[in-house]
Amino acid sequence: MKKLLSVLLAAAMACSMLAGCGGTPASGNSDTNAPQGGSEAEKQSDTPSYVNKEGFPIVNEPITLKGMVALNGNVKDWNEHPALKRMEELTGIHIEWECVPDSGFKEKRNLAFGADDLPDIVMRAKISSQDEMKYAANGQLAALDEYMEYAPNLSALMEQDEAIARGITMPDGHIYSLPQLNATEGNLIHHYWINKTWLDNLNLEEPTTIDELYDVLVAFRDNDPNQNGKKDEIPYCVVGKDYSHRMFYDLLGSWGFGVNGIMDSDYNFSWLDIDPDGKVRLIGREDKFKNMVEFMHKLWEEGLTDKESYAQDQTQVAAKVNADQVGFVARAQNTQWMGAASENYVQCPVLEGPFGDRALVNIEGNVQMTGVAVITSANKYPEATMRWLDYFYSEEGTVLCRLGIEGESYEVVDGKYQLTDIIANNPDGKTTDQALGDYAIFGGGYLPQNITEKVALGAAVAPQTKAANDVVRDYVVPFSKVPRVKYSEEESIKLGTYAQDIVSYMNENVVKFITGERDLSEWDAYVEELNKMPVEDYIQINQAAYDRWVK
Amino acid sequence: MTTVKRHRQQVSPGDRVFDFVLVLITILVVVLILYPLYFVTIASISDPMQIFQGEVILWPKGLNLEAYKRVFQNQDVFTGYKNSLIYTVLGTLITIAITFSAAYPLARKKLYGGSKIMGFFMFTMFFSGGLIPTYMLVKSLHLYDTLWAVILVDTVSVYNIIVARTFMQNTIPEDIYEAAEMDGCSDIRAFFKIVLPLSAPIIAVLVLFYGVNLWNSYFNGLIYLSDRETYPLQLFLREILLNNMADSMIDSIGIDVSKFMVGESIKYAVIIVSSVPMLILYPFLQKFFVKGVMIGAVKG
Repeated sequence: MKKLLSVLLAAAMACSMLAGCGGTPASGNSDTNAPQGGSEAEKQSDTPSYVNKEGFPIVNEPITLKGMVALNGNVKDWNEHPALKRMEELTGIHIEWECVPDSGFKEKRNLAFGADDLPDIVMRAKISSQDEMKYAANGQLAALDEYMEYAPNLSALMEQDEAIARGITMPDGHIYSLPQLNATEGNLIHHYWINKTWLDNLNLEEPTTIDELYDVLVAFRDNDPNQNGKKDEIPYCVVGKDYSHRMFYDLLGSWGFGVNGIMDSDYNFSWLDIDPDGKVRLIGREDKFKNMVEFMHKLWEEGLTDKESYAQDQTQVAAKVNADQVGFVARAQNTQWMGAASENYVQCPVLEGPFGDRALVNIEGNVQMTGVAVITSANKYPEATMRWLDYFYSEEGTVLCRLGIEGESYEVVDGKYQLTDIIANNPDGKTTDQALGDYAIFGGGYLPQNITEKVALGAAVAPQTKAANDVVRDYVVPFSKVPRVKYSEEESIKLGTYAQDIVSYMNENVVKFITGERDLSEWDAYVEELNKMPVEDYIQINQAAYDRWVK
Repeated sequence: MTTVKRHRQQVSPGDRVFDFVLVLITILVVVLILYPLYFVTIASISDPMQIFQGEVILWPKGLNLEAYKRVFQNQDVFTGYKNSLIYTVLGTLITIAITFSAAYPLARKKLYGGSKIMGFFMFTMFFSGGLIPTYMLVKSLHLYDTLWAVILVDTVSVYNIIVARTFMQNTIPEDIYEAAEMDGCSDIRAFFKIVLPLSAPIIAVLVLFYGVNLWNSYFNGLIYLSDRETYPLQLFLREILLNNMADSMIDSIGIDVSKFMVGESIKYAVIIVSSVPMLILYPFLQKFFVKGVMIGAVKG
């Protein structure tokens, strides 16, 4: 018995150990803590002889690099990819890719940096700015600003738009990663959609204020707009799995939040926005926000909100949309995800809130993604690599990245890019993304590219998307106001200790208030509890980061 | 056996209520365990639209074998199947051999310093080098990107060694070794001729433990393999299961929502397909779980 007990105890301990080990691997590598000081001195020196500063090929003698990439499920193996073969022919640079599936990429990347077993280049690197600062402090990333002379395309873009430099420069003044740039409205504005067919069936006008929205939702609930005789309508549907803030996020502008930019994004909601005085503000304790929560609670109580909202992902909502059950849903830049049902939905006018606020705030900035490509300190040819990466910022480069090979996956008709028939109407029944994956590498984004209206094809420039953008354009927060803040190493560490607690606390409680699990009369108590957390530090750090960004 | 006994004894009403409650609880637990399996099965052959509508509850709706068609058209699934079978069979053989060659001496009282050696073993249960040192070790041993990284890293568990050792200690009395020794049997021979045959039940149990563990493991493959051709099935399964619409839409030129709908039943179909080998293995080993052993092996 005693033995059994000891074995059981041992087993229990072992389990807890394993659980403990499952987390983030230890950073280690303090011995490589040498900053990139060496290259600073060499900066003045002339162009290394192996590399051509202009024209192609980039290198006189072919060179081979080791690369790591997060492979999107739709895209062919990068070692055999025609677009990258084209790059090799053009540049003379051969890259041996380690293709890691998207689903396991983060672990693998963390391990490579943790063990200091670095490739020369990481693409689709998806490095958060916190990690970027950490890797840079470990001396594992090349400071790319020192090689800007090898990046004519990016330099030109940065001269046109100073926001790019602000968005990618770390607090130490260096640039360690390249961004994905996007100037296409159709990719950057996230809409909310209302069922136009239902409105027509009930002879209703499109709502223009939050109060009118409420009336429309009630009518959707009671008057059988889908005309099937059943009460199966879901007036207000939310894609809220793992992202509980999506219950209200898209309507924040109707209560005056996010009008001057929201810190972080929809994918990573930090509960912070910028108030009219340029001060960072914690949304979750504002009186106006309480009013918004009251409205959301009313929708929930009266059966207007989908009770599965907090548990469903986009595919599930798409199924409900296709079963003609959904009245209002805020999701995505276009309606393509709705499939055949997309014809039913339009962007309704930007809704005016109870305090007269009116803005659409769920947008992405022109510096759409950062941390998409890095050159590591293991790279012996940073100049050539920089030129290789920079090519993608040119129009031809972005076209190669997004549209693939001319004559095979796209053609130029009257100066406009067009997908070939094999891509647009694939004979094997592949989607456009899947078919393009054999010729282009853009799938899933996070690539150094500059997406302009000219090279954007498909849903982003579809007439329906344009129409939706026309409706909201006057009320959209300017893309340049989307903060792209960076934290110093010290700030990252501080945020790491309490930011998550603060965010989770607000997430959990707001869900409780909306669903009625916690009564709204306890709002003051909630704010008081919240204020006992280190919220002031949280705001202050973000304020400092924001001030650095805005200057 | 218990039912036979019960007939002979007087069953009190209290006992009967107790039995009834017990059976009820057992049925409940069985349903709790079986229903998810059952649901995955019926969902894999149902119309995905109906799954989303929550209409698939007790039997399949809108019979649809599209998902299985897609799964079997997928070359990755076969590659993964083949690799996983190799890793599992080879890995189980090796780890069973190591486990029992470690457990046997530790079970013998005459092993000098046995408890100290056990202490060393136990130490590794509580403290390990962690992921990064292990990764660096695997790299330096040139095991990276070979099947040995999947098979050898972390496969022998000290816990299972303890289980095997405890089994041997408790079921094989020292008297048997003494008797064997009298007849001129060496320790090694005792291991093969006496211990292993008598340990059949625990071998079966550990084969199942290790087998299932290796079959289900994806982490070593994820970390130590880079060639897609060598991925175990679970890695492909993970890719399929984690592939969702929201991620695909981050940068997209054209998606098709119906593909994601079918994707939902593909997920279920792949789960079924990947569980088959373990489901087949189980009945063959199950008899060892209940078989009484060692009854009457030693007299007096």
